[in-house]
Order: sequence, then C-alpha cells, then structure tokens
Amino acid sequence: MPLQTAFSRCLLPLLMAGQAVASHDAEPPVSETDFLGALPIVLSVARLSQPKEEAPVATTVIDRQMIIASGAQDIASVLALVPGFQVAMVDGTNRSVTSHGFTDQFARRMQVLVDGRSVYNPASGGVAWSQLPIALEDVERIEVVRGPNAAAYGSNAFLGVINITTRDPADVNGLEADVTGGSLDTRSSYVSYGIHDPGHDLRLSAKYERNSGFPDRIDDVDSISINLRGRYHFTPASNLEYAAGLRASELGAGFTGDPIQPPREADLDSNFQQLVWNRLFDDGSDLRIQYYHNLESNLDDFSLNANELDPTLPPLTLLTGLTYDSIRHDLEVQHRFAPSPAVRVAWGAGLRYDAVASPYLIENRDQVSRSQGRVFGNAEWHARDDLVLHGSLMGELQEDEGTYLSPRIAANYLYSKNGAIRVSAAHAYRFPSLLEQFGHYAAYLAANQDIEALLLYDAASDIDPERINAYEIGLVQRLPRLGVDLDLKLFEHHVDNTIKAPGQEYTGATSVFRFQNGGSYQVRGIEFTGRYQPDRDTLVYLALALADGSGNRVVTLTDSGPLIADTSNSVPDQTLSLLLSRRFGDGYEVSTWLQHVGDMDWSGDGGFAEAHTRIDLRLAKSWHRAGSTIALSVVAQNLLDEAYDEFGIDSNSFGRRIYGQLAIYTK
Amino acid sequence: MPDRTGKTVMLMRGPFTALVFGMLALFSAVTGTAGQDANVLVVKSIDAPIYDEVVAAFSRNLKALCTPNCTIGELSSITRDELFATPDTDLVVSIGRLAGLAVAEVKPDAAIYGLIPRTTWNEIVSCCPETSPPHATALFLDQPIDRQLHLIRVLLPQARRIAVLFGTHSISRLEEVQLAAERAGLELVSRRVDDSDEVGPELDIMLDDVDALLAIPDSTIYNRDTIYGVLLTTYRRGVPVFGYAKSLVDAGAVAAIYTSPEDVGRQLAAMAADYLSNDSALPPPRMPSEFSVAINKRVMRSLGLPVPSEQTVHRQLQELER
Repeated sequence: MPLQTAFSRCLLPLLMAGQAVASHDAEPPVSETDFLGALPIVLSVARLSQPKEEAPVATTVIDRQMIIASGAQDIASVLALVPGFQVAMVDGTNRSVTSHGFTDQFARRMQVLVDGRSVYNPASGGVAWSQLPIALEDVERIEVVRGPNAAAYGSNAFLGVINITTRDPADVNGLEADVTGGSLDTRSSYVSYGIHDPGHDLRLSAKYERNSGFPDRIDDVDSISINLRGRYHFTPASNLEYAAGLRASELGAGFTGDPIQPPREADLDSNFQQLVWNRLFDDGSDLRIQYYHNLESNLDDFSLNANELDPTLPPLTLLTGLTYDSIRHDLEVQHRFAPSPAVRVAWGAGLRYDAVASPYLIENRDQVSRSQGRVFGNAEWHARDDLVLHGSLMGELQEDEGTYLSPRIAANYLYSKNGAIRVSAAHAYRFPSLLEQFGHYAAYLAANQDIEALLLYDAASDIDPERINAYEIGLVQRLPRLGVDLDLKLFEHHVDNTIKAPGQEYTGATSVFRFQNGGSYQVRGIEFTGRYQPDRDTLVYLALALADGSGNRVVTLTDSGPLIADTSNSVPDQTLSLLLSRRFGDGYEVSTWLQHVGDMDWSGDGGFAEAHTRIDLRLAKSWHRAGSTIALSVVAQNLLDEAYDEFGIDSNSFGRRIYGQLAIYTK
Repeated sequence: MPDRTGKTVMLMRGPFTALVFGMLALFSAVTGTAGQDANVLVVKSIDAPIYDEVVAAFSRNLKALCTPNCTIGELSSITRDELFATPDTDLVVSIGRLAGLAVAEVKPDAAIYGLIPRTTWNEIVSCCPETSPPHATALFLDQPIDRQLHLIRVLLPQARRIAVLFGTHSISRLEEVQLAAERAGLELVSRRVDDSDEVGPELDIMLDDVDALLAIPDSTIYNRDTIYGVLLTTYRRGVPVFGYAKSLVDAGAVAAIYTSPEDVGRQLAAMAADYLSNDSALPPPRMPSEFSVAINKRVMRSLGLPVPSEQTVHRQLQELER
C-alpha cells in the first residue's frame, strides 16, 4: 500500500503530464502558465464601443435584447428605433431606410456595413435590405452613427452609418432553431450551429422565409439564405476572420394593369466572401487587412406592349427589364496606434472596384464600372482630462470624378464624470451610383433587339457628387445610479447638388427621366434618446426626433423653364419610438413598441404618407430543461389595427399582423 | 495551451530525471553546512524570460538582504551539468511547477517553492509527504480570495451577485469562495464545468442576473481557446470580468490582482533571507503579500463604469487588508 501510494503520488503527476503529450484532450494541470502565459486580445479597441461622452458623433446602439423586444420581423424594421430614422415598406419585402426623410425607394445616403463590409448596391446606391445574406437572428447589434461620417467610412456615409455586427462565432454555442408563422402566409425557419475547436470558432446559419406580401400587391417572396462566419487564431496576437453568405430569392413584382411595370416574378441572388487578417502588436497598436467581394444578381426580364404605353404606336412587343449583376471588390488596410498616451490614431488606405452589368439599364448594354482609391486618418486627442478633440479626413480619388476631401472635426467637453457636451462639424460627399451616372433604362424591339424603342431613364453627362455640410451640438448625460442615459443632439444639415431624375418635357426632348443635379435641402432639428434600465430585466427606451426641413427640386424641365417643387414635406416633423420591455422571473417577457411618424412625402415610387401611430406587442414565455431552452412568442404588429399606408402607397395598407414563433436552443 | 505544456513536458522529462538523480547525489554529500556564507540554489523550470526575471529579482534582493553573504547558484535544464559542481546548499528555491516537482523528489532539508499556484503545492505535498513544513514552504501565485472580492467591491460598489465557474482543477475551492463571498456581502452564483466546450453554454445560463464574473484559475475554463467566448459573451451581456492575471486584463477582463515576476522574486528573497539569517524553521506556505492591480480602462469605460487609477485601487485594497 505505501509503495503503491508513493508510486501513484510521486510519479503519476509526471506521467500524467507526459500523457498530455500523447493526447491533446487531457487537461493540463494548473501551472504558472495560467497566471503568466499570453492570451489573445479579445476586446480590442475595434470591438469596444466608444463611450458616448468621448465619441465625435452621435450614436445609437441597438442590442440583441432590443431587437428581440421590438418584435421586428426583418433587420430594416429594427432601425425605426433610431431617433430621426424613417423606415418604409416599399413593398412586401423591400425597405427604404432614411435619416430625416428626403428619399425614394432607394435611400442612397447611408453607409451600411455588415461586419465591416459595405453592402450598399453600387447600381442603385441603396441597400437591398431583404437581400442581405444574413438573418435577423444572426444580428448581434446594430450601431448607428447619426450624421455624416464620410471622414471615417467613405463617401456613402453621408447622412449616417449603419454598422451591423453579426454574432461572433465564439459566442454561438450548440444548436439554435426557430420556426415562425403568421399573417400574410408568413412561414420561416432558421437554424444555426456553433462549432469550436482549439484556436478555431465557426458559426453557420441558414434561413428560409416566405410571405405573400401586401394583399393588394404582387410582392410575394420566397427566399433562402446561408451565412457562415469563423475565426482562426494563428497566435494570441494574430487571427484570420472569414465569412461568406448567399441568398436566393424569388420575388413577385409589378402591378396589374401597369403598362410599364407588368406583374412578374424576379429572381434575385446575392453572395459575398470576406477575409480579415488582424494582427495585434505588443505596444497596443494593431493592423487589420480586409478583402471582400459582393455580388448581387437580379434576373428580371419582361415584355411591354408598345400600344399600351402610347396609343399612337402599333401593338409591338418590347423587351426590357431590371436585370443586372452588380459586383464590388474592396481591399482595405488599417493601422491603429497611440503615438502618446493621450493620442490615438487610426489611418489606412483602400481600393474599391464597383461594376454593374445589365442588358437594359445602361447605355452600352454591357458593363460599367468605377474604381476608387481612398486614404483616411482619424486622430483623437485627450487634450485634458475633460477635453477630447477629434479630427478626421478622408481623401477619395474616384475614377473620372477627381479627388474629394471629406473632413470632420469635433470637440467633447466632459463637464462631469458622467456628462459631456459635443460640438462637431463635417463636410461630406456622396458620389452618384453607377445607374445615376451611367443609367440608360430602355425597352427594345422584341423582333430586333438592336433597336431601342423606348427610353425611360437616363443620366446627364456631367453629374457632380451631392454635398453636405453638417453641424451639431450634442449633450450626453448618464445617471448611473438611476440606470438612466440621456442623449440630446441639435443639428443642422445643408445638402446641395442633390441628384434627381426630373422628366424632360420641352420641345424636341425625349420624354425621359434624366438623373442630374437638381435640388437642395436643409434640415434642422432635435434628436433625443432616453434610456432607463434600472435592472437587467427592464428597459424603457425613447427615441424622439423633431425636424424642420425645407428644400426644392426640379420636377420637370419644360419650355418655360424648370418646374420646381417645394420639398419641405419630405421630412416628418416628428418621429417617435417608445420601447418598453420587461422580463419576469418565471420566463415570461412582455414588450411593447409604439411608433409615430408625422406626415411625410416619399419621392420616386412613393407618395404622401399621412402621419400614423402604431403599437406592437410581444409576449414570450421560455422554459429551461436540462441545458436546453424552449421559447414561445407571439408578436402583434399594429395591435389596434389602425391601418395606414406604408411608403404613401394605397396598396401598401398596413393593418394588424400577428406572428407566432417557437424557438429552441440546445447547448 | 495543452500542446505547449505537453511539448515542454516532453522536453523536460529526460533532463529532470537527470536532475533528480543529480540532486540526490548532491544532498547525500551535504552533511551539515557549517559555513559562514549561506549557499542558495535556485532551480528554474526552463530557460524562459519570465523565470529569468524572477531569478534576477530574487538574486538582486537576496544579495541586499543576506548577511553576511549569500552564494546563489542557478540551475535549469540546460545547465544541469553544473549541478555536480554546485557547492553545499543551505536552501533550494524552485521557480515554477516542473522545477518544484523535481526538487520535491530529492527532499531537500529546506526548500521554498516559488512561482507556483496552490494546486501545484497540493501536487507536491501529496506526491512527497516529506515535503512539508518545516522543511518546505511555498509562495503561491494565487491571490487571497478576499482580496479578489475586495477588488470587486472597490470597482463595482453596487455589485450584489457574482458568478464563478468552477472546473476540475478549482471545484475544491467552492466552499472557500462561498464563505468569502458571504463575508464580502456578495451572493455567489456558481456552476460546474468539466469540459472546455461547456464554458460558453454555462456562461450563457448564469449571466442573466449577475453583476460580475470572477475568474478563478482553471485551465479547463480559461485558456487561449475559451477566452474569446468568455470575454465576448460577458461583454455582450455587459458583465465585467475580474481576473487573476495581467494577460486576462489585456485580453479584455476589466481588472485583476496579480503578482508580477518582480513581486515574486522580491518576496521569495525576503522569505529566504529571513530563513537564512534567523536559522529558524520555514514559515507555512503563503499567498503573496505584495500584489499589483491591472485595470483595463477602455473596457471599463465602454461598459459605462467609472475608472479609478490603478494606484488608487491598490491603496484602497491595502487599507481594506489592514
């Protein structure tokens, strides 16, 4: 016995340590390495949200708890929680998201990033929200910069930046699945799975969605998406992140009896691939090199009857369509470092190639492209304990356009430990999208497709970028004891050179809508956010914006000069979101979301949308069993069934909608 | 880390066998060291910067404290041949787990085991029962649990409930942590994790209603592969993590109390000098009396927490221990 004990006690530890060589699965005993060994820097500066008191811009963060509590069924709808943001359902699937109005169905003045990848469409300049190859369930948080930030994010960051972060692969455990059913024949199912190996984390998800759209429209959708995101660690200080995704949709489009937009089915496919290499250095600086590729492919050919378009024409069949392929390649290098303890600098350079190919939408009926180079720098200087100064500059060299500089300066005065005043000024550009610059939307004779029979849209030969000057004063106050966060912003935006497509109705002109610079607008107002979170289970969130806009745009060019329209109604006076959410100890959750948007004129295919108020309600109950969770939830949108017209279109009547969801999480 | 540790062990087994036999030879030759100068032998686990730092601090401090004089011999796997040339030894000081296990095998008359966690001391004691006070003592890397809880109280005065994950290597501390939490007026929410794969799911479950996560050293739970999940999940839930190592703070924990290699060397030197000058018995194993505080200001600010300076917190902790 003593011998055996001595053997097992003395030699076993060493032998067992030896076994660890043979088997990687054996857990090493705790040693000094656990105390003194190196670990990867997980919460790097890039991952941390900047404290609001020190940020050069107003930001709104929508986290997963808010996304779930909102009961929203798609990503774009969640953005109505952002003060000053309007979200319209253009049809059953497409959304237009804008900050303080002044837009059509393709809100083009916003930079939208998914995990650092710019997703606005190079063709339209807008975002095909329903086509993003990610599911709402994949979204971890949405961080919105309210106001221009081209100095940090490039030319489309004109009115704001929407930063969507998907769930980190290291943060997804086991299997998650849900099924949803409800109004408008909605059926969807989602599944995700997290895989973890030493040094490697991977998340995979897939979603199937379909619904019949608005009852009075042909806007049904049938869509499947797959998303993958992973990270491989080479060393504690370097890793490679990779992501890829695709979505394939069949969409109903057009209107019965509309000679230009006949009823039809379109196939829209999109996919992306992304690689990011991160390297952290001992001095705290880091290097990030990113490459990605986006492809959006729309197959939407249809025929028109010339006689229905113009009774003087014979009943010839014309071929046209919205078929296009748009691609983007983007490479960016970013380096961040602190030259002194009080100064932080981020700088870098990028190259981008955007191209659109289409048989009916561009003049050469083949492909148009634009290359762009950019160099940027941001510096943050903690000049004193109570003063932070920011300066940023983006220089963009656009093919055929020249060089443009977008600067931004800001100063934050921290008047107390929990409060700050911010003043900032920014100047930014938005470059015309490829269709705004090279568009030539025409219909061709079916009998001889070389003959252009009808031109619907084209572009002026010289289009300048839109310009914005923005000024703001912000006040941030936290009351940590009460769990209250307050954020107030007074702003003024001056936008000119706006790109519009007025009709050409003067003698000798073709009756065509032509993209050109033809308007300007100003908006001034207040954005307020109040957040009350006394504990983890309770949230009261209020976002309120009051805005006063004025502006004009050329509607039609006639012999007697341009017809100019007043566009003051393009921004609602008030936009309000109030979200209340409470979790109870026994697995019950109740949340309600009140939205109010004042009168607003949507341009393009949209119309005048009267002020409306809508209340959504979500009830949920979850059960935990042996490491698994089952959750049942019901969402009633527009609970009171006070129908209103989305996007100002009669056929987009939004009444009460009910959805039920069953979700299962197993670890 | 398993592969790294594994490789190290593979390299070390041969040399350490030689070392053990060499030292046995040495100590059987040493019979009563009636010398004027004390002979101290420092044994490092391997030649690596951290061990060298500890040894440098130890030697520097011991030379200043030792009267009339100390001769300090140094030994590592690479220099094991020098073992036979080492003069009579009054005290052996081991630096690191592998060095400690090797030294314990030869049962020196007096040994101080440094740069080891408490779990390694348990390994040593259970391995070689003769290795116990008054012949042996240790300076642990672990901080007293009360000190770690004080850190939470100082940085997070509103905290009421703290989460702690226990694994195979730390479950034995459950009761100790439970009692300390009660003393600190904190409610402990604990879960057991037996496999690295369970860390994420268990955290997900327990983070719903806690104010902080206290990390207790356990290689099953906190290692290079799990740390991403731990820190991202807690950050997403707005739960600050309190650690035991500076590297954890660099990675994204909000704060930690730790002993730097310099601290370890200095305290080992004081223990050695005390033993050699008084010719007294070795004291019982102890936790470090000197410690450093590391705070991740960016993460604290990002979580909306007020950020005091490391010096202020250090001072407050010292006052609390007085």
